[in-house]
Amino acid sequence: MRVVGQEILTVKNLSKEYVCGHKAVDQVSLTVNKGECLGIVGESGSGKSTLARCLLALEKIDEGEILLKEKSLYNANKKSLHPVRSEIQAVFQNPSASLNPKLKIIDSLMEPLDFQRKIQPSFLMDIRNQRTKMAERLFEMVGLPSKYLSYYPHELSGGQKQRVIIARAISIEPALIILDEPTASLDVSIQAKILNLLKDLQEDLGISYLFISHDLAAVNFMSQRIIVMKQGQIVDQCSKHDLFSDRRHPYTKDLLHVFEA
Amino acid sequence: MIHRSRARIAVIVTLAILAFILILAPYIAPFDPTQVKMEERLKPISMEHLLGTDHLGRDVFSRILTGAQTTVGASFLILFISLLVGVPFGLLSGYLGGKIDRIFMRIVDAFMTFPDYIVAIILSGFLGPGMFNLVLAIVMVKWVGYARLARSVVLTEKQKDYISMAKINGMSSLNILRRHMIPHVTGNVMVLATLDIGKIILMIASLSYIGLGAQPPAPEWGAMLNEAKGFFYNAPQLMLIPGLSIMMVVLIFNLLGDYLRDHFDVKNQKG
Repeated sequence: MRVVGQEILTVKNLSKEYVCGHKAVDQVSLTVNKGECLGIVGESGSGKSTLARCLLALEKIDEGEILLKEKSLYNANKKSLHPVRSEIQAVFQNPSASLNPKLKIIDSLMEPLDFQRKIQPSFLMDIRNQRTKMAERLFEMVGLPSKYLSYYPHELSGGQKQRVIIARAISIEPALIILDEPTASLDVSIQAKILNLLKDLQEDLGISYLFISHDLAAVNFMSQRIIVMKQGQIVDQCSKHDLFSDRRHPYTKDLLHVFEA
Repeated sequence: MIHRSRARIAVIVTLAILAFILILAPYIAPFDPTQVKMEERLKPISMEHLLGTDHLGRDVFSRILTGAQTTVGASFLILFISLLVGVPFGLLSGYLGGKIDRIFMRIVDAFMTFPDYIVAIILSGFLGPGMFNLVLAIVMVKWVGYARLARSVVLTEKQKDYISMAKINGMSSLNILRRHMIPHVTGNVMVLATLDIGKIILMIASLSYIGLGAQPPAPEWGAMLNEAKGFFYNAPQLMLIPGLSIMMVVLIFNLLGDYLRDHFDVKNQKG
């Protein structure tokens, strides 16, 4: 079953092998449609994060093709990568490592907008030249008081930092945000709040998500479609509603079993 | 906390005095530091000669003041050049990694194999004694420390997600170095530099003492010690005064180093 819609991200036969010969990602193909959240589940070492790094053009790929809004990410030389970059953002697992401890929150937050001046996000159009006002509005969108803007990262809690990072990710209004275990380092009550925030933002802004997690419950909550990865390969994919059906791959059933227990 | 803020004020005040002396030395000095007056030789401390006169009748106070310019000035010059060479070298080496890093680090290792003083003495020996060659010799042994430090900071920070984020945001390598790496490097480098400047002052003084640095009649603290050693019994103040000057300046810079180390730790600051 396929959701009909505009394809934001298309990955064809992507393979990535590390120097040691270990195949981290093996012939992965997937698509993410506009406004959709695609979940990727898999245990540690299943190649989820490597896949994410490849999609963000942080790693070189060995084989295959990545198309972001029909523009290839890898034929691109450095210059033509620039406009593609403005369509993709990421939220990583560890919020502390994602903020430079020497910079004030506002400087980390505004990094994408400071360095990509041409971008005019629809929700910041009217105040594009007022840096503090933009920062305040972004903070409002993720539910943070604006006094934190002048703080340093170590003065914020993990959940607050993750909100800052989410604000940074939406700031340039990208077509796609890759969420690589965005809640894994937070405690349970904060996890739920962050997931709800992400869901609300998606509804408001129509951004597509690629949600990577080992937490089946979170993936199930966030995604319309779910892909199951094992040892770098896609072993199963289905829509959210079919997740509990009998036709699922045995590995998916194993995961579900753990999840239910 | 009171003690720390007091220490801070003390360091800042002494530094200000030192800077004042360094800049205005030629104007404060009551006598020409190189003017020989044989009839006034080895005069004790008096109102006319605040710190007495040396074996050639030169005013010691004037020589200490102008000598400060040579000794401390040259140390700053050495430090500045070492930073200018070492930090970019280390930044690039660490950031680019791979082959370039390996080649760069082997060069650094080669420089580090030799002990500081030996290299400085050999270089001064080859190039001939003199202040310029001394500066060159000490830069040769000092820049590697900064290269290594900058590289190690870059290597630790490079792994972190915020650098990946910066790349995702399309920042160029130059911007990443400038915005993310330099602030991390600065703190560490400043602390090492202020601790190092004491060592450099000592090095200049000791190499001048053995005759490889400033040449007579130019005043320089180490060279003054050397000239005074023959008169130690008759006029011990001639050795004590430059010796104490060296000691105090080194101490001030070490205290400053401690202070800066605390200062560059953002975790002590409130936003």
